[in-house]
Amino acid sequence: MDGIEADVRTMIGGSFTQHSLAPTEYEAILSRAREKPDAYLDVFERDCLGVRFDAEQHSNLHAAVLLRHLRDVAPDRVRALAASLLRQYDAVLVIYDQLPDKAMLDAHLPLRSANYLVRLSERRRELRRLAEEP
Amino acid sequence: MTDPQKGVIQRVPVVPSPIAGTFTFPANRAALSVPLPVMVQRPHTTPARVEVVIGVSRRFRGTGGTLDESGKIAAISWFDRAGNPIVFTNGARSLTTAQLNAGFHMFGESTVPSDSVGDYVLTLTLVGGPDPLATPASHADLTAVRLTLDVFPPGPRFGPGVPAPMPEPPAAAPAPGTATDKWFLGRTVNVQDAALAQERARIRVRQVEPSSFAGRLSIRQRALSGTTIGRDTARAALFDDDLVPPPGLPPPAVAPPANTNPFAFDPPSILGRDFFVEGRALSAARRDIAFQVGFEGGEPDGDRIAFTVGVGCSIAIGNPLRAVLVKKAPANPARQTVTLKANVAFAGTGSFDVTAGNAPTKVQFFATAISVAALPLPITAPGAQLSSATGFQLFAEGIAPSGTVDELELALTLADGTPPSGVPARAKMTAVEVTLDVFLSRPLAGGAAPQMPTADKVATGRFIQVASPTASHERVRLVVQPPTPNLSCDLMLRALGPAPAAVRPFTDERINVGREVALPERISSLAAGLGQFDRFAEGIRPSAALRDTGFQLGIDTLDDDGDRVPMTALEFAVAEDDTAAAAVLHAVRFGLWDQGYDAAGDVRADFIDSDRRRFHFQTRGGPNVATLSLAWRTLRADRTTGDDVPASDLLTLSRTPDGRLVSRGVMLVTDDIDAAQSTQSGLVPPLGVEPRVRGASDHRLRRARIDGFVRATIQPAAGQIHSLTLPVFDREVPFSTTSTSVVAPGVAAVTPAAMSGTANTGARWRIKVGSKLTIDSGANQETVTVTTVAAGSFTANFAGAHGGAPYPVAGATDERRRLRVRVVRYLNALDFSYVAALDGDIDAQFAHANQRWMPAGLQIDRSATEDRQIPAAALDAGKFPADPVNSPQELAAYSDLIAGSADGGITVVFVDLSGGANAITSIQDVPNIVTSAGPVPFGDRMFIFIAGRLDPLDETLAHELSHALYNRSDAAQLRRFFTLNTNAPTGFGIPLPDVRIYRRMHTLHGNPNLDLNNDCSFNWFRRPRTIKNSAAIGFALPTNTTGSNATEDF
Repeated sequence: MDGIEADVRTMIGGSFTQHSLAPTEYEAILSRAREKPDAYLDVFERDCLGVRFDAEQHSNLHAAVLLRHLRDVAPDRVRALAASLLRQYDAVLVIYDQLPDKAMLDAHLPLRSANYLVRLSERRRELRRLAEEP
Repeated sequence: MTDPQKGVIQRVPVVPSPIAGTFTFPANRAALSVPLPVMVQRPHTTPARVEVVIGVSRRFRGTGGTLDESGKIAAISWFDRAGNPIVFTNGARSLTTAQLNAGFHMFGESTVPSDSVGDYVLTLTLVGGPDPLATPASHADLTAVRLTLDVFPPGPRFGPGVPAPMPEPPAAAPAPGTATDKWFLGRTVNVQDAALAQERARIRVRQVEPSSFAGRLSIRQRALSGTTIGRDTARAALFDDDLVPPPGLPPPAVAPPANTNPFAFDPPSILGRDFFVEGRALSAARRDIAFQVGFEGGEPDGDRIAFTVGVGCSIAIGNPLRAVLVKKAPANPARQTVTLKANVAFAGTGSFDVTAGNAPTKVQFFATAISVAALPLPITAPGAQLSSATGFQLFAEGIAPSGTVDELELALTLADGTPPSGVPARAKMTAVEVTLDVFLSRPLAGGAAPQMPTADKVATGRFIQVASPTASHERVRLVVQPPTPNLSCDLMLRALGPAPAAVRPFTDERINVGREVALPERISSLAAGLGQFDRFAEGIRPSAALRDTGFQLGIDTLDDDGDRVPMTALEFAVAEDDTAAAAVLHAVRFGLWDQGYDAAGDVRADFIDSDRRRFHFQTRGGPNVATLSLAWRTLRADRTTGDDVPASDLLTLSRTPDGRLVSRGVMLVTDDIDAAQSTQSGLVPPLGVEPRVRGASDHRLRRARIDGFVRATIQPAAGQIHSLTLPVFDREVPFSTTSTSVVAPGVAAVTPAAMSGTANTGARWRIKVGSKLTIDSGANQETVTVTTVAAGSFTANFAGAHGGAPYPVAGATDERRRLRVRVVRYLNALDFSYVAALDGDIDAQFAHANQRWMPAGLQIDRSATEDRQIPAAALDAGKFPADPVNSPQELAAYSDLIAGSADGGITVVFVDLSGGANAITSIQDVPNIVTSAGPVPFGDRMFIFIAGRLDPLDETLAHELSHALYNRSDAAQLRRFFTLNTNAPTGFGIPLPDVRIYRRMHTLHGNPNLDLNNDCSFNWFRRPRTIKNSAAIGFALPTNTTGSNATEDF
């Protein structure tokens, strides 16, 4: 695993915060990503999209974090990746979206499955918010 | 007128005195008129007749007299001087005046005793004549007296078997060699020896007939030839007492002297009077002594007995119990010596035999202590040896137990001759069997332990477990059986093998109840008979060879080796490696997996074999086999309920060149994911399919709990189950400090050098109320219980005094730690899109956190979930933002939470978190928190904000706790580590859960097992930190900012 891969995984892994990383480390990763946005987005696209898309894995990742931090340095690429991801999330969440009362999930699905859908829905919400921002 | 000087003599006629009849007994010189008793004659006695002279008091001029007999007229018969009977017709006989004036002589004899003194009466009535006659008529009251002298054959004086006196002699002498009576056969008594080993003969003077007879008696020893009594002799001596005092009476301090000859004494009571005759000089021939009983100073020949003083002999059994142990392998008691002796020079032969109690054979006799062939009975002993100083020795060996005590009767009979042989020597003997039973183990299914078959006891022996440090070993039940027959003796229980003993007995099977019994233990046979002599034994150190120790049961003063239980002391233990030098462990821990991964992060095939917290089962002193199966499982906190009990729980112990049986390394894990990892058996060559999967034999992982135990069992022989139970984590880690406080007996305060600290292993200790401390050393050492503590001192009740010089203060601590966590769940009733954690989420996060931290010895105890409405100020676009540090929303949350979160504690807040984070932890400095009550210092608090609805396989809370407990930020870590790892578990391309992802803790900067300052990263959570804020990242060397103050004693 090279440095870019490691940085990408850190950024989407759920711990890319100033609380979890020392401020200098946080800024260093961010700086490296913004210097080479395409390289970082290439790794992200290769590992998380297309044939390697894994919805359950995405429910545990925070792809929007990477895209948000690179949106201003690679806007078109970010927008395209976000749109691609949203389509895939939408496809997975078709049935979920048809449920009028999401609380029914907890009553009828195992906790792990319900949580997965809730998480993925939240990840989609973050992406949508990113995509909808000017 | 009358002359006054002249008197008148008046003659008065004198009245003549009455004439009385008289009875005179010439033999009674002291008082001629007093009747002498008439001795009743026996067929073998010849008492003299008693002479009486019937006469008158002065010359009688009458016509004659009549002599009447009355009373018990059969008692006495009368004869004249020529021996002719004097006949009384109808009880009367006339006497002429001439006979009366001359004196009429009669001689009385008796064959029938009087019924009472004076019950035979002679009355003399005078008739006629000028002279007055005395009235009433004169009479003489006579008594026929019978004396009896009994003699007893050899035999006991008391209890069963006391012999009857020898028979009275017949009227005529029986044919030679056929006499059985006291006179014609007589009694033989052995000539006494210096050791007074020859018994005295008992004779008895019966109560006199009639019993009211008050005259003194006399017993006299006389020479005897045939039936002729001769002069006094002193070949024997007469004593009042036997050599052996009656039961319950002590022997006299000074042996009383022999009685005089003759010896006079008062007439005996109804019990008679016993005397004891001792031989003093050998008889020249049989029956050359007689004892007579008669009247003191009078007739001597009331009764007679004959005596012979013969050659004495003896049988001496070489122990005071007169017993021989039944020999039963593997015990090998020494043969008991039986010494036959004659007490004077003796040229004949002796014949030794067992005359009773030896059918079937209970005892055999040998010529030497080791000879193979037993001697046939009877055994002939030459006189030269019998009369030698050492005597004739035999060696007795027990074959089977006697039916009763003293059942065996030994006899030594000397051949008769000149001098005559004495009474055969007789001795009682007992073949006694002692039994020490040993039991197998209690069955695993429960129930009583079965007794070990005798054949196995000998051939296999009992493997006895060396006491385990955790007192989980089995004690072997031994039962001391009463001896057979139940001889009154002291049984002696001893340890077999070289000193110091490798085994020790206790009074109870239960480890914490039984009292150790000092060996050798003396056990009364009576007590053993009451069934109280169960003993429970354990080993002290392993055997150097099979059956080189055990227990032995013998009889005090007889032999130690009556029965044996051969044992092999087996140490069954756990060690941290498989070398002979490895120390035995008191506890086991979870594996670290510190050597478990290759460079690619995959699990190595030998991941257990170098793990620093693997452990090996081993035996020392075990059976001589190439391999031995062991069963091992984990138990829950109750030490009984199985926790991880796979389908096959077997593990193979293999023999090492140094004779141990050792398993390959095994390891504990915290969950089923780790437990499912396949392992190599490690056996060379492999004995089955490799690798071993969970449930197969020689799979070397078990799931355990922090409060659980590991139990292993082996069976070194059928039915012999040795167990070992070890706690997961050491709960008795020793620590010590010192003190110089002067303490007087009673309640006192002690100021130790430290009230808390860290043991060599890194375990933290603290003196607290209830701590049991060992104070001081040597004779002054005592254990006290702490009753109160202050900042730098503790108080306890002391039995002794301490002080004057520094003395140790030692205790033990549990290496486990406990983390109590406040749990808050933020809700937002105003926003349906707010994602709140479910109870299941919270439970799962804590379950995973516990599984991840359990290997380090940390248990995380959560409070009940406290549901709170999230403050509006803590929301940004409906969620709680993860960043930046100390954001207004974060501070608003602190303001809401700080009052309920103790300084130094950790609060876990489940919240709908935004900002691309699953969780954050407040390790950075936080300013004073503004609350409605004013500003509150943030202090040493830690808050973990964690999202709900997370996948617990992400190990989010476990990860965040590494921030809180280490006070560190993340850095890039290998994928197996969940602590301070910037890389999320998801994203490695490996579906979770997986033993390669987010399951381990670093073991950097030292040995986690010997970590005095908890420098090793594995133990950082044990480090008290002095500064909260830390800029440290990842696993750089620890500083005073590293660690946590939030954990507490377990």
